Amino acid sequence: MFKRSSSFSQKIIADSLLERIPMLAISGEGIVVDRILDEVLELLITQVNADIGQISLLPKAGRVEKLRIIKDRQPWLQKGKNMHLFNPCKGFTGKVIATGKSILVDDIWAQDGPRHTNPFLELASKMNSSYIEEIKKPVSSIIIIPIKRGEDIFCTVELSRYRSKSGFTIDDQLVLDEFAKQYGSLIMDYVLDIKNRIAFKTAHKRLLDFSRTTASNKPVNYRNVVEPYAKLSAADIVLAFFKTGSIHDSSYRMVVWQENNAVEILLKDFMPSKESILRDDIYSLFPVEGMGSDDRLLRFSERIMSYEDISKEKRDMIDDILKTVKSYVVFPLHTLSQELGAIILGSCRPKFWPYLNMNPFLDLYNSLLKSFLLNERVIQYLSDISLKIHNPGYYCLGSLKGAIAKAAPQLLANPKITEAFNGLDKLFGELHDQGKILRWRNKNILFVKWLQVFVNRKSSDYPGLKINLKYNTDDDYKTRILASDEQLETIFENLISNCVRAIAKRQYKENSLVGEINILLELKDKMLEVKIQDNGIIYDTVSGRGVNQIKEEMEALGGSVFVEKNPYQTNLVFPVN
Amino acid sequence: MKAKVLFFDDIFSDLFRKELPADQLIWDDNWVAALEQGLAESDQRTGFFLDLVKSGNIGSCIDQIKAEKPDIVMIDLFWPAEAAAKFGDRNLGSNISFEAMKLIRQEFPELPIICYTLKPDKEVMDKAYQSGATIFLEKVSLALAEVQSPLKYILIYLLKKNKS
Repeated sequence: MFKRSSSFSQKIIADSLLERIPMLAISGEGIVVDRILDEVLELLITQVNADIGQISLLPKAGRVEKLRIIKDRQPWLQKGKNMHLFNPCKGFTGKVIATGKSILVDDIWAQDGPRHTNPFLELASKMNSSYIEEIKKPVSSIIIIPIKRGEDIFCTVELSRYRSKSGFTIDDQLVLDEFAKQYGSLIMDYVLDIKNRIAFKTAHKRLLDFSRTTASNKPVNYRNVVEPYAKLSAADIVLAFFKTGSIHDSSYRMVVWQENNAVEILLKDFMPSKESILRDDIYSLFPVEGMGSDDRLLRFSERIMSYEDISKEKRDMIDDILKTVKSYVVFPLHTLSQELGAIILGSCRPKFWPYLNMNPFLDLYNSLLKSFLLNERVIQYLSDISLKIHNPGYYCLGSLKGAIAKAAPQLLANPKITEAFNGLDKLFGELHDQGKILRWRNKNILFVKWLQVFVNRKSSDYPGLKINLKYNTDDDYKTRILASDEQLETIFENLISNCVRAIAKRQYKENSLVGEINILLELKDKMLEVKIQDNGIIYDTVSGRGVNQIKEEMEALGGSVFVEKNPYQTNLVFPVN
Repeated sequence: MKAKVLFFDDIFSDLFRKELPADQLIWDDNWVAALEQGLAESDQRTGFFLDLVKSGNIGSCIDQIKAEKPDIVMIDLFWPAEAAAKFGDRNLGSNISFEAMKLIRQEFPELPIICYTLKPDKEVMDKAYQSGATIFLEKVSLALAEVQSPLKYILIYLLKKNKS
């Protein structure tokens, strides 16, 4: 079944692969990247009779990770099991990066000799144990080929053979080199482009969520806010600090993100140290690069360990995490002399700074987040002014007038005094009203019209998708519900995203399937029923947050949501205004 | 005639009083003192003796009404500290009293409710009436008993109307 590709003249024909890649990429969902990489690895594995193939990404800025591992023709790296390269500058991959050339190794487990040391053995003890047991231990011969943009190596492909077989030959290496030269950059750039599109969608969704939160009366979900930093950077650990409270408070919401887990901790009355990155004075210099156990991390660790407002369990957890950080970069969130907080991207690898920089998407996200945080704070300050005018402002003014009326009533007949009081009253009124203008309130929304515009927008976002909106009578069309645009957008964005995922899952099996979403509206007993159905199939939920968000918003609107499984249909019930 | 007035105002709420420093709370307390004096001053002349029961615990308004059995209820409209705790938004302070009035109306349809606040607008006034207020008034911030005293006559009117 397998044949050896040991003939020098043999060339890998990638025409059919290149034809298939754009077809595979149509849905733009995360699964597409896996499919393309599977086909690339399948082609190379077959060509050189390998048993295991893996593709790793190592861009400067962005995630440094093993993208796909195929063993015995089956995907080995499970979904959600992130595997970062321990250190791309070390091991045999490090040699490939240093020389810019592919490498052929007869036995990766060969002991160090008098002249040569084995760079893999140096790393092996620090690598993921199941990776070592299942991917490295059974093999001896490997080839690693670099994929370059100009001279910059941003990706490597590694192929290996079980030790029971004969090792790879120079001819195998040459044929793979030729493939990398001819197609490597083309294919991997395309894969990166899809990954970036998906990453952009994630950042976009988080920003939309955040902007809707800003436009609503809901508290910010800081874990969600931090997620893009964890998902779009090379960081193993993200520490985020968001200043909270009034202008004179110094409290922080701290989010610690490690291995898909996020913990949110409130640091109440936490005054930053003199040289803290949470301060933004004229001597502050950003971004900051640091390394494990430096003064900054030690100082913070000491403060946390002596900070009794959080549990010992959490203190220990933070301390443990800080100890694993070997290098980090700090990105401040300060804007217009407002100390808004900071994001720390940390790595368990030493001197990993070049990889910890933000890619353009994350950079954009970070900039927008700063302006949203500033906006949120300004709204809060303005609202505080209004509330303070309401109380104690008016009561203070009332007491003053009352005291004068009692002690020296003739003064109230003095035009200068009454003018001053009137002026103060007017000023208070203006400030009070200005705080009120940014208040969130529901609107009386003509629902079908709103949904039609939303569907039109979504149809542009997903040109390969048919979205049908149906209603029966004029009464259905005239139905108004009490809601905010942001609430409705949150509900329907999540619903459409779920439908798109279900359709993509089916398209994975049936390439020619045209995705279709049907939305049916019906007025029943002063309630508006909205039924949403698609022609996709059940998929593994990514986080389950979407459904929770829909439920939360529907309950806030006094409505409900329920799902029918056979066929799958989401039903929303809105109270009619 | 004796009558009991159950007076819900966030000035008496622990949540609110914890937020404001003492030098700012003093203005609220001045105002309450003036109000109390204003309501008490004309006892002899009107023949109405008003027993003012103050409460900052609007969350348990139904239980308190059952326990105190007031003849009339006064509710301050705006409860920012309670709204921050309940909705995460201080600006939704009015919703606290709207919800309370709806609950009171369900349990006690005949009980007169005075809702009032500083510097109201049409929107809150309409919502207060929709939520069950019998009468909506503007709170006068002047800490003078003479200025607060007319409130007593509104209370008397509502009591008389309710008895008839």
